[in-house]
Amino acid sequence: MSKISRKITWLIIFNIFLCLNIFSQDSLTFKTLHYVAFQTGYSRHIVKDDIISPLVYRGSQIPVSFNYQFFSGNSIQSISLFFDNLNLTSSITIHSPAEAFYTINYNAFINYSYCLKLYSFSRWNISVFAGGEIKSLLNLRDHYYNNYTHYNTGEFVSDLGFSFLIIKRFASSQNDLLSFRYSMSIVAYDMLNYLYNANVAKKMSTDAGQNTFINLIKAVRPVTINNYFEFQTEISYTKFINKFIGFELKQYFQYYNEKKFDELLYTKYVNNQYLVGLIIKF
Amino acid sequence: MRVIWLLIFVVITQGCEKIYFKNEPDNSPVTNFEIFTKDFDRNYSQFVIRQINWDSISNIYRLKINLNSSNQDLFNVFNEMIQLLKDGHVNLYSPIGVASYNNLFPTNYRGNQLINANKYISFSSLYNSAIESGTVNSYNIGYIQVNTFYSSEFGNADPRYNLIDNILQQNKDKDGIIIDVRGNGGGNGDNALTIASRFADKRRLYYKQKYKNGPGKNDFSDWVNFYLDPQGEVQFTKPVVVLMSRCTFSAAEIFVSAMRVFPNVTLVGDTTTGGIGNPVYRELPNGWSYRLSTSIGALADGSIIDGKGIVPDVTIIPLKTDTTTDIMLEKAIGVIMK
Repeated sequence: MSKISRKITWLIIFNIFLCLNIFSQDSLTFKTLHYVAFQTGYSRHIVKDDIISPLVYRGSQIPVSFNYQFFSGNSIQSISLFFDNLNLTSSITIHSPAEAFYTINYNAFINYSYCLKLYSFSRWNISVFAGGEIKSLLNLRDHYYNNYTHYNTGEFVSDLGFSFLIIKRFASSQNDLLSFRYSMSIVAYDMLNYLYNANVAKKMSTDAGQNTFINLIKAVRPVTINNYFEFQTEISYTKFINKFIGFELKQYFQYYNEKKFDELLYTKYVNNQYLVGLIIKF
Repeated sequence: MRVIWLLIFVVITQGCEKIYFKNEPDNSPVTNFEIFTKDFDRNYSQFVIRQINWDSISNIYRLKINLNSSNQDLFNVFNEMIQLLKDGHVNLYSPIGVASYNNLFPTNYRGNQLINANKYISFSSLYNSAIESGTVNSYNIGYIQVNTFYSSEFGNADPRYNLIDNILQQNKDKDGIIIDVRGNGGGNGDNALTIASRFADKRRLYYKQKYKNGPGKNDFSDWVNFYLDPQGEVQFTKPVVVLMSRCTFSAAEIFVSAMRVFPNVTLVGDTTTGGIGNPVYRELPNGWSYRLSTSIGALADGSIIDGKGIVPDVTIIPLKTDTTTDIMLEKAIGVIMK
């Protein structure tokens, strides 16, 4: 197991320990409930794309996020949507002769998960869920030099994975929730895989008029966990101020590392979000 | 208590960013040299056609760089390496200066310009900073000089080149037209095609390009075909001569390759520079940037342009002492009047 994988594993174990030690004496029952949440806040993106630069690019933005959850007895279904658009820059603030490199980054994802309750710890009022998810994420990077020369790279990945969810209710209010979610991609395919120097893909049309960026997605190929490692964690606290309306605080973290071209070119990406939002229950 | 645990978790997660990106390259001269040479090794497209052994060059110049090398030392090394490539699309940009191939164009060369303009051309009022036009004195022949194909609005086709429609309207009754790109150092290929498309009789294959798509010296895509369709308000399909020289470079060579496939066009002058390149731009940890060629261009018949140039149909080269007679232009007139 690599160093990073070991660190991730310990991080997950710590998170689980953390949630299990936030104690409460309530018993936990889930009625059929719908939760709709709209969130915004602070989103930080960090990417290292070997295809376009040896440097790490960073940026922050105010994102838009939507989440719908359906609680039904022993299952939870969830749909999430996220979008933001920002400029990323490297640690070099001055280039010579004074012409900047920067990246316009578009991020969007849609995610559906279905989890079944595995176990309840009634003493701590905690329920553990596990299941699968399907999601699609687009991380499109338009890398600029000199404000007019630019190249496109990115990831357009659809994947199947597993999802692990821990939910805790509080004694003070049955409706207030603290949850931790971990999900990881198992098998995926990237429609922007196998790019090289940001201008070409492994397969291109012999007609120049067809080699638009969209047509470079001809190089679709499945990427297994060896080529594409992705996981997300999410911890959220939900508090209702009345029977229907509440607010939610959420911290979300995503990491992926994809082998874009053989053993030569990789993309690493981190997204860290701190969100606050309105949640409606019905 | 719960809030404290939450805050601890948030702080730890924030710190996780550094776990994943701790290997950002340092800014030592050695690291900058390694990134530069490895990037060329993986992406530069013309080592084979220019017969350059980049591994040897890198090994030799690596000995000149160490952790204590100054910026000037590093610049000098990069500059010397760029000279060896002999490629006008390879440049390094730094606070010290710009490194380019110094001998891209010949010196004391009269072939790149209109000699004794007033003797030969009566210029018209249809001109702008990119294009000039007029009439050849004593002949019913139009003259168009395209000085550059650069765009004033970066990256986009420049509307200045649409003046060609007005020029061709004015010259529609001429016996022929001479298009002079002898001193055209290139620019935006779209602008070159704006002009060339006005001389197209039908859709034609005019150019091919293959792209470096792997780290091996011979890792290229298949040849990608480029076609040109007639465009614009007026098509001029009477005799045309394109004047070219050793200073006709880059997008101007795209123009020549397009004009070459039309049956009414004759190329007169000297072989072009030989550089298409399709360069990409890169950066180094020290803030310097550079560009390098990532493709190879060829004519419609497959003849490679990079490193070789486009050979004219009629070769004629003025002497260095020619100051009053433009023998290239006179030959062009003769071709049209034949």
